[in-house]
Amino acid sequence: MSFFTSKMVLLSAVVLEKKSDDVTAELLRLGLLDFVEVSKLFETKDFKLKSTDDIKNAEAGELRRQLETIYKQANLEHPYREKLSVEEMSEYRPSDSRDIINKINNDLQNLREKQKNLHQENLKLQEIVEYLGNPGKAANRNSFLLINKGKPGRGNFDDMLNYFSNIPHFGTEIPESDYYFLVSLKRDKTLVNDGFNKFQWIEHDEQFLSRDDDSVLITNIEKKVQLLKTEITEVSEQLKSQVINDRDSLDRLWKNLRLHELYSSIQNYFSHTERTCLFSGWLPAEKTRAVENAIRKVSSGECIIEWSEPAKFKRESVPVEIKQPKALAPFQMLVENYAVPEYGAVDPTVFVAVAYMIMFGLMFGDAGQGLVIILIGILGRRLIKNASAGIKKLMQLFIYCGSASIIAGVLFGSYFGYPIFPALWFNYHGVVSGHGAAGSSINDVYDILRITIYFGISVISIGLIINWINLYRKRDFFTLFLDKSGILGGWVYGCGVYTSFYFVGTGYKLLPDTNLLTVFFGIPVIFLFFKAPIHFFMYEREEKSFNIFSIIDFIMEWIVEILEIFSGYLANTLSFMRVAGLGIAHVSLMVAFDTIAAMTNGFAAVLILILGNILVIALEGLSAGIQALRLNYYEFFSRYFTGKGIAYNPVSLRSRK
Amino acid sequence: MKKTAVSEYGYINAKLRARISKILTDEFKNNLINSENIESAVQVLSSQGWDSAVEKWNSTGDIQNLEFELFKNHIENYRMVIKNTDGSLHNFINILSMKPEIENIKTVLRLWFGSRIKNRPIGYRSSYVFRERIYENIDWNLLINSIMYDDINAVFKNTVYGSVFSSQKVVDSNDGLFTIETNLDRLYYSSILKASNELKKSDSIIMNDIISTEIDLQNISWLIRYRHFYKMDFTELAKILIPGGNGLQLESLQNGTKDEDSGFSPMEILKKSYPELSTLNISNKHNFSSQAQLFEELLDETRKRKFTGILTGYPFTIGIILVYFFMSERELHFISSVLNGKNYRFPPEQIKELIR
Repeated sequence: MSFFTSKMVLLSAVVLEKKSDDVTAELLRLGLLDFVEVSKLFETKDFKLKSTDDIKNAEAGELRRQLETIYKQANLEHPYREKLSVEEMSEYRPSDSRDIINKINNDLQNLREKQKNLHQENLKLQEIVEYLGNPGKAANRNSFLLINKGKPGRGNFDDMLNYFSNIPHFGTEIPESDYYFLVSLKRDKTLVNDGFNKFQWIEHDEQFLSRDDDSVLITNIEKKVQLLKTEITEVSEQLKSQVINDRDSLDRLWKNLRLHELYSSIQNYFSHTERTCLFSGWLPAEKTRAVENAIRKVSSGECIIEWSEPAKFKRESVPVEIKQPKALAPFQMLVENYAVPEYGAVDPTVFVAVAYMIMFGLMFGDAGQGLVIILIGILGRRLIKNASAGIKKLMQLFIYCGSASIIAGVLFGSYFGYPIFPALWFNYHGVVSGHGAAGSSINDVYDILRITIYFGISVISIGLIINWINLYRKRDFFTLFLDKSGILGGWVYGCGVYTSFYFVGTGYKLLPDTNLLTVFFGIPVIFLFFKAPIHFFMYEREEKSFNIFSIIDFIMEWIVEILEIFSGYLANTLSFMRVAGLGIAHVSLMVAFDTIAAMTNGFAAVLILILGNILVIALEGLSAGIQALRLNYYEFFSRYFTGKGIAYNPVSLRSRK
Repeated sequence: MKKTAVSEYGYINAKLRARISKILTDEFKNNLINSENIESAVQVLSSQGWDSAVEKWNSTGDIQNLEFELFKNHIENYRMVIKNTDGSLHNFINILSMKPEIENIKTVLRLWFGSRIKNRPIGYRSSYVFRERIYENIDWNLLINSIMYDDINAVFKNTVYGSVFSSQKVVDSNDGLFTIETNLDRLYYSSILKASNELKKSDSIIMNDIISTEIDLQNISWLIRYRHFYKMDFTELAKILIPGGNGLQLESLQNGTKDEDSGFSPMEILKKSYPELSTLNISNKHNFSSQAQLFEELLDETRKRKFTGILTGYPFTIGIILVYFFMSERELHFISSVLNGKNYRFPPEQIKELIR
C-alpha cells in the first residue's frame, strides 16, 4: 500500500539504428514506457532530428478496425489483447492484409446482397399473405387482390412468374390440372395485364375460388413463406460461417496488425540521426533496472541510457501511476473517476476507502441487509458474463459496502430492521423511535447528528493535512500558509470548531473570551488581507501594472476570501449531517414497514417485510452509495485534490488505444 | 387544479434533456462519417444505442429496413412525449406529430405516383410504409392500394387532410405531387400556429419564435428550388409560400413582383426581419441561388443559437420539447444520409458535402 503516487523517472536512450527494431520489440514486450516525444523535452526549436513516419501505424490501425467489423458481423469477439505475444509478430505486408480483408468483405457483401434480395422477396410475399391469409379480413382480399385461375398460352408458367418479379405476386399449380393460380395486387393490374398479354394467359372457365382452392393457395403460400425464411436464415448462417471458417487466419492477421500498430506507435516516438535513434519515456522508478538491462541486452551494449529525475520537469507533465493493492481497486476506480492526482501528491485511495465505508455503514447500518448486498456482489461477479473491469470493481464495491453495513448493523443491533442481538454501540432503531437504551451516550437524534458532525470535522481535517503535505512536497509555501485550505484556513477552521463547541457547551449562551477570539479570527483575517498583494508582487507583477484598481481588487479578494472561508467550512461540515439524515431515514422506513406488517398477519406480514426490505435495500442502498461518493468528492477532495495529473499510460500489449 | 410549469415539464423535460445531450455528438458524427464501410458505420450506430435498427440490418442487409426502424423510433419518440403530457400541451404535441405523418403520407403518394403515373411498380417498398396510427385515423392499406386519385381522395375524406386532397381534381405527370405536398406542409404549419394559441402565453411566444424561423427556412428552400431551378414566377411562388414567417410574407412578395425586373430580391425583405444577418451581401440579383443558400445556412445558424438559448435557459417550457423533436429529426436525416453514402461507397468528403 502506498500513500503517495509512484515515483517516476524519465528514460532517454540512444541506440544504433540497426538495433532499433529489436529495441522496439523489447520495449513492447516490457510494456513499461509512457513515451514522450524527444523534441518536446527540449525548449530549443533548432533541434533537428527526423521523426518516424506515422503512416504505418494509421494503416495497421485502420485495417485492424475493418477486421473487427468483420468479427462483429459474425457476432464474434476478436482475439483478446491478453493473448498477444511479440513472438507471434510476422512481416507486415499491408497490401496482402488489405487483399485478405477485401476478399472477405466482398464475400460478405455478396451474401448481404443475397440476404437483402431474399428479404425484399419475402416482403412482397408477406403483403400478399397479409391480404390473402386472414379470413377475418376478407374485405382486404377482395379490395386489394387479383386472383386468377388459368394458364399461359405461350411460354411456361415459371417464365411468366419471372416476368412479374418486380411486383408482389404468388403463383402455384392447381393440383391434378394443367392450370395455375396467380395472385397479384389490383394496384399492379396494368402490369399484370401486360404480362397476361405477353404470355397469352388463358383464363379457366371457373374463376370462382372454392374452399379447396383456398386451402391449396393458403397451404402453398405458407410453404413458400417458410422456404424463404429458411433461405434467409441459411444466408445469415453463411455470413457467420464465412468468418468462422477463416477464424484462425483472421485471428493471426488481427494479432499481427495489432502488434504492428503497437510497434509503430512506439517507433512514432523515435527520433533519428543518420545512424542512431533516440527515444524517451516515463516509467516507475522501481522498474529502471529491468528496462535498462533489457535495452542493453538487445542492443548488445551499444547504447547510451540516461535517467532524469521528475524534479527537472513541470509537475503536470509527469505521468502518474497509482499503485494500490488489488483489494483497493474499487476505491481507486472512484478516485480515478474524479480525476488523476497530481504527480508526487498523496494518493487518496486509502482514505477514500475508509471514509466511504464508514459513511456507508452509518447511513445503511443493518447486518441482514448488508449480507444481501454482499451476496449481490458475489453473485454479480459470478453471473455477469463478459463483465467489464468496471463492473467487476463495482461488484467488489458492493461486497465492501455490504461488509460495512454488517459491521454497522452489529454495532447498532439491526438485523433486517429487528434487534435480534443487542447493539454493541447503541440501538439506532430505539434512538430514532425515542426510546434509546438507558445509560447509553446516544439517546436522541441530536446525538446521532453530533456523531456525523464529529465525523465531518475529522474528514475535513484529514483533507487539510493531506493538502499541507502535498503543498510542502511541492514547495509551494505561499499556498501552504495563506490559502483557504492552507495553514491559515486550518487555523480558522480549528478555532471555529473550538468556538462552536464552546458556544454549544455553554447552552448557546457564551462565546470564548474576546482576546481569544481576536487571536482565533482577527489575526488570520489580517494575514488574509496581505495574501492578494503578496501574490500580486510575487507572481503577477511582470504581467499586470499596479494601479488604483489593483488596490480595489485586493480588498474585494480579501472580503470574498473571508466569506468563502467562514461560510465554506461551515457548509462543508454541516453537509455531513446528511449521513445522519439518511441513517435516520433508513431506520424510519424499516420501522414503517414493521408497523404496516404488524397491522396484518401471517403470509401478508411476511410479504410486506420482504418487500419492505427489498425496497429499502434498493433505494437506501443506492442513496447511501451516492451520498458517500458525493461527500468524498465535494467535501473531502475539495480540500486538497487538484486533479491536474495525467495517467501513466505505457504502450504495452494490453494497451486499449 | 392548474399544473405548475415544474409539474408540467419537470419529468418530460428532464428526460428529453438527457436524450438531447446524446444526439449528434461530434464524436458520433465523425465516427459515422469516417467509418470504413457500411458495416462499420452500422456498428457505430450500435455503440449509440440504436440496437433495434442495427438488428434489422444484421438480419436483412437492407438499408431501407434499417431506415424504416429509425423512422419507427422517431414516431415512438412522439408517442412517448404525448403520453407524458396532458391538457393543451398534450393536444399541441399531438398536432406536432402531423409532421412525421405527413412525411409518411408523402412517401405513399410518391410510391403511388411512381406506380400509377410513371409505371414504376411499388414492389416491396410498400412494406416500408408505417401503417399504425400517428395523428389521424388513416387506412394505410387502402391508401397504399389506391389505384385512382379518387381512391386517395376518399381515404382522406374525413381527416384533417381532406381539404388538401379534395381541392385537387387530378394528378398528372406534368404537375406531379408538387401542389399536394406544399399544401400538406402549409396545412401542418397553419395547424400548429393555430394550436399554439391554446398554449400558455410563455410557451406560445417560444413556439411562434421557433416556428416563424422554421417557416422562413422552408420558404427560402422553396424559393431556391422553384424560383432558381424551375423558374417559377413570384406570383406563383407567393401562392405556395407558408404564411406566418418572420419576413417573407405573401403581400411583400406579391408587391415585389411588380419590380421584379428592377432588382427585386426577396432576400432583402427577409434581411429586415433578421438584423443579425444584415452584413450579408445580397445586392447581386443574378446570383440569387447562392445567396439564398447562404442565407439559408445563416438562418439555420440563427435557429441553432435559439436552441442553445433554450437549452441553457429556464428549463420548464415547451422549448426543450421542440428542440428535442427538431434534433431527433435532424439525427434521423443525418444517419440516413451517411448510411446511404456509405452504401454507395462515397468517400467521407463527399458524404460531408451531402449532409451540409
